[in-house]
Amino acid sequence: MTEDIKKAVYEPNDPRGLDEPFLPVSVAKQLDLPGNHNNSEAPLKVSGRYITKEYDMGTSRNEKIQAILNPLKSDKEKFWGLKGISFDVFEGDVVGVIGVNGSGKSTLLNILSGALAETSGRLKIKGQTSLLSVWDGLRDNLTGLENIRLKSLMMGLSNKEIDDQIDDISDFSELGKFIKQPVKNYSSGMRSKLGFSIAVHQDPDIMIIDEALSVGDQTFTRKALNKMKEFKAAGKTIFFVSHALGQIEEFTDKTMWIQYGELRAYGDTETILQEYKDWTKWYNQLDDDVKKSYVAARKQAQNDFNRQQLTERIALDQHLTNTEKKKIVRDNAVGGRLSWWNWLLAFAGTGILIYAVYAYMYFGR
Amino acid sequence: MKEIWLVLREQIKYFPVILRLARYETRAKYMDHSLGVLWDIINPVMQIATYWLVFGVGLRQGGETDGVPYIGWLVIGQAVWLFLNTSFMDATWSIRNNVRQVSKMNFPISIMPSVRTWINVIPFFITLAVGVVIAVLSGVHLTPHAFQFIYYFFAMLVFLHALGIFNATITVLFPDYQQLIQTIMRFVFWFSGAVIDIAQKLGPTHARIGRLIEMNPFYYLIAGVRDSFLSTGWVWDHPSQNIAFWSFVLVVLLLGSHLHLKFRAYFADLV
Repeated sequence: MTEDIKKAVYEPNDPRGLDEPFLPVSVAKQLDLPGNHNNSEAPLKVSGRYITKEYDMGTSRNEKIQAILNPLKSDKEKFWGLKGISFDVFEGDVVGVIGVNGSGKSTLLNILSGALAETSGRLKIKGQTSLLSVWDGLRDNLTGLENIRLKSLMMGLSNKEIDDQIDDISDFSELGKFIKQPVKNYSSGMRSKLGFSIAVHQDPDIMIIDEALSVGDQTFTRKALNKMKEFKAAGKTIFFVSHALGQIEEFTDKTMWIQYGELRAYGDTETILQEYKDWTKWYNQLDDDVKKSYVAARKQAQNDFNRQQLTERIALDQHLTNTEKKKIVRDNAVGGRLSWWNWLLAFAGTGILIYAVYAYMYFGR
Repeated sequence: MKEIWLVLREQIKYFPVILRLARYETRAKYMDHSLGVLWDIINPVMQIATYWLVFGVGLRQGGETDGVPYIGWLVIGQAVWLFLNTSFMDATWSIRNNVRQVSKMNFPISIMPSVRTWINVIPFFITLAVGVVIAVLSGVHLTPHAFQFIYYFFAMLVFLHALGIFNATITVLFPDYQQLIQTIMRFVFWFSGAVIDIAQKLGPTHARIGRLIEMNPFYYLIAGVRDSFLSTGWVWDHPSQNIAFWSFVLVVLLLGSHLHLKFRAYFADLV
C-alpha cells in the first residue's frame, strides 16, 4: 500500500499532498504566528503585506513590456515567484531565510533591497537597506583598494568617510599585499573576503546577506559571523539567507521558510528549523519519480496562481480594512500617464520646433 | 514638467557621486595601459589629423572656411563633435549595462548617462584647448565672443542629459534602438558640420537645404562653439535656431523623464 502511494504521480490538488508533515499555513493566519509578536515593543522596520512577484514567461521583449503596461490583459504564461507573502520584522530582529533552491528567497531579497519591483502588495521599509552580495560591484581591472573606494562611494559615502575606514576594511579582508593587486588576479576566496569586508563596513539600518558566508574558508567565516554578531548586538535588523542550517541556528532569532513562492512558516528559529528538517527528511525518503512529480505539481501551482486566488486570500485577512485590502490587491501602478498639460507642452514644443525650422529654412534667421 | 524636475533634482543631489564615478571609470578603463589617460588625448588628435590630411590637404578645402583658417575651424569642431558623439553613444547603453549593479546601490540609476558625459569632459577641454591654440597660432584673435562658450557648454550638458535619459530608457525597452542610433549618428556626422562646411559645399542654389541641415542640434552646438572662439557670430544672431534647439531639447527631456520614471522600477526585469 505504501509502495503505491510513493510511486503514484502527484496532482496539484492531490489529497495525498497531506502526506507532507506540514500544510502551508493559511496566509491570513501568518500574522498571528509567534514570530510576529512584538514582545520588546521594538519599532517596526519592515512590513510586507501580500507581496507578489509575477514573472512573465513571454519570451519576446514586446510581450514583457506589454505585460508591465497592462498586466491584466496580457494572456501569456505567468510564473508567480512570490504568491503573496506577509511578514513583520522589527528593529533588532535577525531573520534567517531558508528554503529549497528556486523557492523565491532571492526574489524576496531583491525586492527588499530595491533591485526588483514587487508586482502587487504593500512593502514598507523604514531605514536604508543594503544587500550584501559578495560578487556584485567588484571591477576586475581595479586593485583591491580602488574597489573598496569605488564600492564605498557607490554606497553613498563621501571621500572623507572612505579615507577614515579604508584601513579597517583592508585589515579586515586579510588580503595583505594583495590589496594592491588588480582584483582579476584574486582567487574566488579572496574576492569574497574583499566583497564581504567592504559590505560589512557600510553602515545600513537593514542588512540583507545573501549566502555571502558560504564562500571563503572556515576561519574567515567565523570572523565574519562574529562581525555579524556585533551588528546584531548593535540592534541592526538583518536578513540572512543560507543553506548552512548551522549558521542559521547559531545566528538568527527568527526564521522564514519560503517554499514555492509561499511563506510556509515564520517563527522562532528553533521551531521552524525543526519543521524544515522534518520536511527535508520526509522529502528525501520519497522515490525519485515521486519527488519529480511533487516538485512539478508545486511549480504548476505557481503557474496557475492568479489574481482571483490572491484576492480570495486577502479577503480572509482580518487585520486589514476593506480599503487597505483593495489597495493591496491592486497592481503597483507603472507610473502615471503623461498628464494632459504635458501632452500639450510636448505638442506645443514640437509645433514651435517645426515652425522655427520652417522660418529658418525660408528666411534664414 | 514635474517629471523633468524630479530627474534633474537627482542629477543635482548626486552630482558629487557622478564626478567620483566618472573618475573611477576613467581609471579602470586605462588601468593596464602605461600611457593611461594620455590615450584620451592621443586618439582624438590622430583622428583630427586624419581629417585634416583628407579634407585640408588632400581635397584642398582652401585656405579659409567661414573666413578663418581651416585647421583651427576643424579642430574646434572636431573636439565638440567627439565630446558630443562619445557621450551620446555611451549614455545610450549606460543604463542597460549597469542596471543590475546599480539598482542595489544607494543612488538613482538616472545618473548613469550623466556619468558617461562627465567622463568625457576633461578630454574635451584638452582637445578644445588644443584647437583654440592652433586657431590662435594660425592668426585668429580671441574676442569677448569667447564668453559665449559658457552658454554653449551649458546647452551641451542639457542636451546630453535630455538625450541621454531618453536614449538610455528606450534602449532598455528596445535594444535595437541602440543599433539604430549608431547608424543614424554615422549619418549625422557629415551633417553636423564637424569636418565640412555644408552650406558652402551645397552652394547658394541649395541654400534652403543647407539651412535645413543646419537646424540639427549637433550643428547648433558645434557652430556655436566655433562662433565663440573664432569670433564669427553671436548667439542672438540666429533666433530661429535657438528656439528650434531649445524646443527640441524640452520635448525630448519631457518624454525622456516621463518614460524613465515610468519604467525605472522594471528595468531589472527587462534586461
